[in-house]
Amino acid sequence: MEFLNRLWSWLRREARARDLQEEIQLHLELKVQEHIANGASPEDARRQAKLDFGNTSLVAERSRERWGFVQLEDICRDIAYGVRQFVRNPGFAAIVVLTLALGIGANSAIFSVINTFLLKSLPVSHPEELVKIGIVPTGEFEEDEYKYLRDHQKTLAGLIAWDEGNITAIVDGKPDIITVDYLSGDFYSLLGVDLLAGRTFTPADDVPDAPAVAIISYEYWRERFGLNSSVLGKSVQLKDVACTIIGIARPGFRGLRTGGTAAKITIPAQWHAHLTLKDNTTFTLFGRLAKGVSEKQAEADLGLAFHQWLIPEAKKVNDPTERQTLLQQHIVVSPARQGALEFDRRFIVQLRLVEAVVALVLLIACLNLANLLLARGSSRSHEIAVRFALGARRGRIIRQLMIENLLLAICGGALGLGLSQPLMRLFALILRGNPNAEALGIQLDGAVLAFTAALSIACGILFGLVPALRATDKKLLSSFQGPFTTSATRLRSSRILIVPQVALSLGVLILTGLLLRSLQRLQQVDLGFDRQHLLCFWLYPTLSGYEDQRELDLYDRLLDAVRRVPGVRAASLSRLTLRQRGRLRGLAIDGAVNADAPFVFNTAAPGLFETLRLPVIMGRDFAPQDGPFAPSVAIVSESLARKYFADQNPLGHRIGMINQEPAFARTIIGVVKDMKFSFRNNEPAAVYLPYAQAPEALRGQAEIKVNTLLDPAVMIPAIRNQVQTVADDIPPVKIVADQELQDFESREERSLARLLGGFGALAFGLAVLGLYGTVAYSISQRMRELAIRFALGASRRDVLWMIMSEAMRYVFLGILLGWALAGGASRAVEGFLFEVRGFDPVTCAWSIGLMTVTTLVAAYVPARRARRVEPMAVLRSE
Amino acid sequence: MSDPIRHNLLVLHRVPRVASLGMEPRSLLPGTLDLLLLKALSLEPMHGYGIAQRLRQISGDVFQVEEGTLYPALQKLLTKGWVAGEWKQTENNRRARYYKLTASGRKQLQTQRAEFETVLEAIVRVMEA
Repeated sequence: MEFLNRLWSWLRREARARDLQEEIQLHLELKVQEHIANGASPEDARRQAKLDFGNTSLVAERSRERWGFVQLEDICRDIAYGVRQFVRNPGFAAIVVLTLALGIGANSAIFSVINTFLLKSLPVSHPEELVKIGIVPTGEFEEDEYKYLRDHQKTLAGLIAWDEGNITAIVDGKPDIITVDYLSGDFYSLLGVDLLAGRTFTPADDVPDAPAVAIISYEYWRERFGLNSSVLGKSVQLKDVACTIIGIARPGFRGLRTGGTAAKITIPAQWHAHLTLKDNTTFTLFGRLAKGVSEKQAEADLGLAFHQWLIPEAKKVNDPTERQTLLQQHIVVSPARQGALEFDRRFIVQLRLVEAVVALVLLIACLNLANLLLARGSSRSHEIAVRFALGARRGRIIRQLMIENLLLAICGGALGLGLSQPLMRLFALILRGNPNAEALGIQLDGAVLAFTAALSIACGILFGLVPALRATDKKLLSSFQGPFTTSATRLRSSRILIVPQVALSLGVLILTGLLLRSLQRLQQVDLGFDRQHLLCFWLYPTLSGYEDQRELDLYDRLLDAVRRVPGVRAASLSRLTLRQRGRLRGLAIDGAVNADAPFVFNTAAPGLFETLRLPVIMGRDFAPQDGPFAPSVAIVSESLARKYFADQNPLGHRIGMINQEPAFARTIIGVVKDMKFSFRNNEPAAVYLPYAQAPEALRGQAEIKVNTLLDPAVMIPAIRNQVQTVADDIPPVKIVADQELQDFESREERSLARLLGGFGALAFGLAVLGLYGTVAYSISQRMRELAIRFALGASRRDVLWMIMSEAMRYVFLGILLGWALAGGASRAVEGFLFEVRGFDPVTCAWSIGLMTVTTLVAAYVPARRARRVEPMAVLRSE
Repeated sequence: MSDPIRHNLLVLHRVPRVASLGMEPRSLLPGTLDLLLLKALSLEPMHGYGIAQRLRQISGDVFQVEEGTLYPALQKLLTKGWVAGEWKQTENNRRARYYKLTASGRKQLQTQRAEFETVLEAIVRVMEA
């Protein structure tokens, strides 16, 4: 009620002021009449009336407080006053707003990425009840394990099996490789997920012999079907299965992920075994806890069920150690509000690192602005002293100053929000290799807005509070002592800000340096084979229905065709991408078991080593006659041969991979030079099998390598055409130069180095600018002191030395701190670095050197002004 | 705010409360001015000058109140909705705002009066002890 009254009177405040004026007028007149009636002269009467009444303008002012919203109006006035200040001093305001916009924009952008990938909950009902069910040590479950758990658990409202992969989809006769999610039938009902159109699949669709159905993503619907609603009921050919499209997911729905690209098609889990690659047989399991059940209870229950499953399984195993390992597996249940995180730990480290650096840049920027405001506070000290003299309370002045600062911060935040959009795209491109932030689920939502608003206000307080307190500290207010004196305290507080600025930017500099060195090392790695003339592409014949002998025939046909292309020197294939980590353990040499022996394992078609220009130093390469029914053979690497056979001839000896092919041995027919399978893999011991003799789990996909005589890039179209003619029912292949693969493998280092480099340069620039400003400011404030020193006989060199040493003392303190800081922070990135230690002395030396030289220059340039002080001119001007 | 200088003086440097001695009647207990005004208006509707006269008469010139103080207090009562103002002609044909007690003002008078009496009794008891 009172609020409404206030609002009403505030709206009518002018009328109310007039009314009050009239009342006061009447009161005074009546009073004068009263005094005249009592016998006073008109003049005395008027005087007396005024005395009786008191201060009329104060009465009006106090009355005004009673209606309307005085606090609010005052704040509005402060804001208006602040705006006028900025209009009067647009350069200053622009610098502050732009600096903040950049800092806040970058922080908002990285926050939106982190929000998408690490913070957001899945858009399903009650995501907090979701758990992920893992198994130690393998992590994922075989299909029969999943089914046993599903049928025997008692603590979950339901169990969901999920796997993702690629598949060849033929729509309207055109084959295409697309991403696919396999989900168990109760996914939609259990998570409460609905569709844009059509129906979800149910457990009834997820049993053998049920007709094949599929749900497509909104994005796929748009790209492939042009949002045509007749897509429902249409058939998509997946391998040899004709799937009917029964539903379209909502835009932005990503199954069990909060960010990243959505799978284009989702099909019931029962098709998994039939449609995926041979070596991919496992599912990731999620569940929803039943009401009132804790994770621990669910873990105990599922653990028990799983153990019951394991006991008969273990009985089938003869080897006691293997049985032991089998029985030692156990189940872990963890909260999974966010579903499946799409990436590995390296990505999280990367994100956190960028976040930290971006936050540091903002912090440095705030320190810089604080410095700027400190300097400005002293140029406004006259104004502030006048206000004090007029009786303003300190709190009131601080409020005015803080409102100005917050105003700047909010403007910076608003502009930063605008900047955050392109920065989001930049981060998405650098961190995920995809500039379409929206498609990855990275967007400006309520959380990002709230974060930006909070950050802006925090910045305003961070850079504004200390200067505002200092500017209004009466002890420091020296305005009336003349413009050339400033208390030492004020100068010290401005100089102390150099320390964190230098420390933080040196920290960023060292981190960037470490990454750059790591990148440099990576690019120098010699993989041991000829990369210059190498092209590669991948084939997934299983996905198009090629099995067993048909698959081998396809490879033969295809390699023959490629070898016939003019300009091709050699072509061959291997199972694993050469840079994949195919590390294994356990070798038997002539029956002697080396259980822990590490080695890399791969399959190869005849001619692979020739294609890679990797010399066969002993024995022979695989040949077409090493077919499925020929004697089992293997080729080993030089290192392996040297390690296990010393100066013996390894040819003809028997080698077995006890964990890969138990109780099976192959005859060594050749020794090949070492090569690296990956930049980060230093394991030179390797065993190769002929492709045709590979176990079934290793079939189904291949990496084709082509060595060309000419520039590989010009060969790409010819090779692609040739592949298309030989196998027109497989999707078009993507052929890349091997060099690009290398770039791909070092992409994390490069993207991180690029990001940190950019922000590092920014931080460094800001710190240097800050130092320059501090020294310049301190000289402008100390003119009189310097003049007196000169007058007393100090030499120019003495004064220069004094100023420099004062500044550099803080710089060195900052360098020391920054070094320690980087030492701590580099632990976090050590896992990221390649052949560079976290505390790399060369990087540290370079960074510290660069910092020292730059800061020396930044201090020297303004310090030189001190030499030019004319003592008499300065002293006379007072 | 069209005039920045006035703004500086009035708003940024509004005279602190200490400087406004005399605004609150020195001889009044804090908060009692409201009660006195409500009481005075409970007898009959009056304009500002009338209230000042009445207070002086009733209290027998005890209260050394600057008469201007009444107006902020009246504005407060208006905003609270305890009194209502009405512009009327005086006996001398002058336009004046007559204040009269509203229903909620009457209730407020009772509450404040009860409170005041409790406090007063307590003080008296302490002084006589």
